[in-house]
Amino acid sequence: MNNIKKSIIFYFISILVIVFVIPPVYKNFLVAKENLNAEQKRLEQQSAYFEEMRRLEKELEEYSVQLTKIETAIPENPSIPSIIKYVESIANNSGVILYDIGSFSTEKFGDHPTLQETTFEIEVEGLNYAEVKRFFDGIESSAKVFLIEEADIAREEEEESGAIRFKALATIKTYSY
Amino acid sequence: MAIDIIPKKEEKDILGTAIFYFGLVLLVVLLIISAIFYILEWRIENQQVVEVQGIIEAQKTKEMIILETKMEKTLSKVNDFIFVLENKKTSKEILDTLENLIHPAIYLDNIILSATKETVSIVGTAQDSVVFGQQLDILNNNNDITAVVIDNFERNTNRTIDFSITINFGEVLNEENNEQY
Repeated sequence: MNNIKKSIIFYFISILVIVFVIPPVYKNFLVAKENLNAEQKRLEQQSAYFEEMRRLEKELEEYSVQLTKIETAIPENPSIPSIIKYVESIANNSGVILYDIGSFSTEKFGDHPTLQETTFEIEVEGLNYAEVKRFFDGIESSAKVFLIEEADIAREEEEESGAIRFKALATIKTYSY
Repeated sequence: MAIDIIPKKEEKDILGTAIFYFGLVLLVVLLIISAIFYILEWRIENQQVVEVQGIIEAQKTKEMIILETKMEKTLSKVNDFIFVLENKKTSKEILDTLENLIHPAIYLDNIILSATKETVSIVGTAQDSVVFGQQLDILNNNNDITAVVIDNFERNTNRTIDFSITINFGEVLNEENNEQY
C-alpha cells in the first residue's frame, strides 16, 4: 500500500514534467535548431555572394576598356579648369574661337545620389555654320559626357568689313561623381 | 490445535511494487529526456550557432569588404552611365534633320534649339511667299516633326518674307545618339 502511495507521487510528478517541462524545453530546442539552420543558410548565401563577386571581378577584367570609357565619360571630381581645357581643345580642333565659358553650377542629379550634374555656358564664334556644327558634334561625341541643352546659333555681319560670322551661345551639361 | 512450526511467508505486493518501479523509471526517463533537449538546445545556441556566426564574420575580411565596395561602385557607375545615355538628347540629330529640310531659297539668321524641350526655332528670310509656303509644306510633311508653329511672319517691300518658326521634333533627339559609346 505504501508503494502505491509513492507511485502516485511519481506519476503525478511525471505528469507535471510531461505538461510543464518537456514542451517548453522541446520548443526551445526546435527554435535553436531553426536558428542554426538560418545561420547556416546565411553562411551559404554569403559564401555564394562572395564567390559570385570574385567571379564578377574576374569577368569585369575582360571589360576594362569599356569601364575605363565609363570612368572617362563620368569622371570623379573633375576640376573646372580641366573642363575648360577640355572644351578649349575641342574648340581648337573644330576651328571655332571660344570667347567665353562660365556660369558653372553643380547640383546633385535626381535619384542618383552620387551623380552630379554640372551646367555651364559657352560662347563660340566660327567663320561658318559648319565650324560651329563641328564644334557641337565634337562636344557631344567626346569621351566625356557633354550634352548641349540649349543653343542659339546666330549669323552676324560685321558692319565695317561686311564679313559674316557665326556666333553660338550654348548651355552645356556634364556629369561627374 | 496444530502449531505452525514453519512460519508463513509474507505475501509480497508484486503489482504495487511493479507500479512503483514503473513510475520511478518513467519519471527518470522523462527527466533524462528533458535534460537531453535542454543540453542539445544549449549546445546549438552556444556552440554551433556561435561557430557559424564566427565563420560568417571571418569571411567578411577587409579584402572582401573592399571588393564588395568596389563592385557596388562599379555597378552604380554602369547604371548611372546607362541612365545618362538613355536620357541623352543631342543637338546633332536635330541639326542634321533641319539641314535637310531647309528650302534652298531660304536664308537663316538664327537657330535656337532646346534639347530638353525638343524644339528648334528658326529665324530667317524667304525669297518670296511661294518659297515660304513650300518651306511650310516641307516641314509639315516630315514625319520627324510633330508640330510647326509660325511665331512671326512679315512681308517686306521687296516681296521677301521675314519669319520665325518653332518646330517640335518630338522623339527625334532621343534616337541613334548613343552609338559613340
